[in-house]
Amino acid sequence: MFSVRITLAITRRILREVFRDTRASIFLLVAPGVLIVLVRNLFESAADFAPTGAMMLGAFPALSMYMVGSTLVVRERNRGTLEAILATPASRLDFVLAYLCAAVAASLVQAVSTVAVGYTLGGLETASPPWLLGAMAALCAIFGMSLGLICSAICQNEGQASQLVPGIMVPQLLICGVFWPLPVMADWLRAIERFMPFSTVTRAMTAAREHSYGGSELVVNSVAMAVLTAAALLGVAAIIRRRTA
Amino acid sequence: MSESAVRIRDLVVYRGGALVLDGIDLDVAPGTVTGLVGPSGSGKTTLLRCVVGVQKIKSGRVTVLGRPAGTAALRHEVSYLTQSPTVYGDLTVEENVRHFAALYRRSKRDAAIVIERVGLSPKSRQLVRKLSGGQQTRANLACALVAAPRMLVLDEPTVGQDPLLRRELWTHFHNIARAEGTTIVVSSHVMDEAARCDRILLMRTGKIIADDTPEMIRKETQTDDLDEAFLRLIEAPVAVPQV
Repeated sequence: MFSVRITLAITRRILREVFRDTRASIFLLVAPGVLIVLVRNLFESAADFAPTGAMMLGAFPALSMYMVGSTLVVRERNRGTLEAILATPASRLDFVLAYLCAAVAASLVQAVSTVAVGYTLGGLETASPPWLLGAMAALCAIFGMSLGLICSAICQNEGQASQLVPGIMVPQLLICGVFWPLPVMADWLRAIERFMPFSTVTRAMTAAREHSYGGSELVVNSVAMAVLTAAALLGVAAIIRRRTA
Repeated sequence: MSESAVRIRDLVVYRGGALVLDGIDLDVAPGTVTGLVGPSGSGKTTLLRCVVGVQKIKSGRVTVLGRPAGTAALRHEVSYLTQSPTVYGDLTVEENVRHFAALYRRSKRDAAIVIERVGLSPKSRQLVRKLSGGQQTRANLACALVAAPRMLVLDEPTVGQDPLLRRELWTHFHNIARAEGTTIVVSSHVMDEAARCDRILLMRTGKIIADDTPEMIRKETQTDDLDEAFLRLIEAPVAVPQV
């Protein structure tokens, strides 16, 4: 079904490609931290900022990795590299697992930088220890990348893929609680929020902030994220085809 | 009599509703170099894609090295060079070739050898997107060669290469066919390149209209110039009788 050697070879190649461009890698690693500092200063005190800040620790890595993921599969298909790879002994599962491994590696680095900024410059205080929010941030980033990959697999070109950002991600971001507190939102918006994939990110982070080690709310949302991630990746494997017309 | 490396029976392919391959029958002997020529749009690339097993087909059978084209075991044995380079622009030549080497379980040494063979050793640390079109094609060729496959499917491998390098590459193709028994199917639109093949297949509108050695094609069309022979065959209202 898959081979460790092949999966790791593809992983290395993806990471090389993503991080080759210095500007792109700085953006990927630093942007969530910069956004946190920016938003922190919209609030008067660190205590006021904490609810939003905790959500941002998950939401911004997820969004930034979504952006990376959403162009990758489209690019591979348009350049013909997807067909070239699938004509080698590499399997579709190798291909998808390699993207998962690359997402894990990139998101861990990103999570460390984001959480470090959040707790120092952002002055965040949470009931759970920072490492837990870091781990959650990484999970959110992997989840974001998977969402990006499935969108990318559906799209015909990079233009379409970038249209999905305002089409799918921005609405979810607007009503997930980062911009406006959930309790004061209209009922029908809250009903939508409950079933958005992206809400798992903010709900898990909020749980981790409010309760030490997050409790059942954290577990439920983490599991939901993991399941959605797996579903998205299997979806990618199902959509890409070795044989094309 | 050894088994055919490629056996195609009554292959029909449609692409976007249009008939592209119209009942192809073909046998390719192992260890030979077969040239596929024909005007653009005649179905050369589609036929190669069928051999590699990446083309959806309407009907017919394609067997490669005794197995249905595109099956998992075959993907270790067949390597495919696409017409437009499918290398990663943001990776160096060396990184690209090593990547494909890893996919085929070959070593870094194997990668260095094929880079040398396509004449890119001096450029091996350069990013592929900074190379010329011809150099990119060669980098891509190195990625296909590193597999050391039993069957090599090459779609216009010498486009944009200078005459000296073209000659070297063709010598190399013959060497690996002779020495390692690799079966090579190569498309080209340059007839004088096809002259270096053991056998020429001429395609027109989805059919093979001539199938012979270069010498016999010259003889039948009564010209020494293969380009002229090509034109005579293509423009002939009815295909020249095949031997």
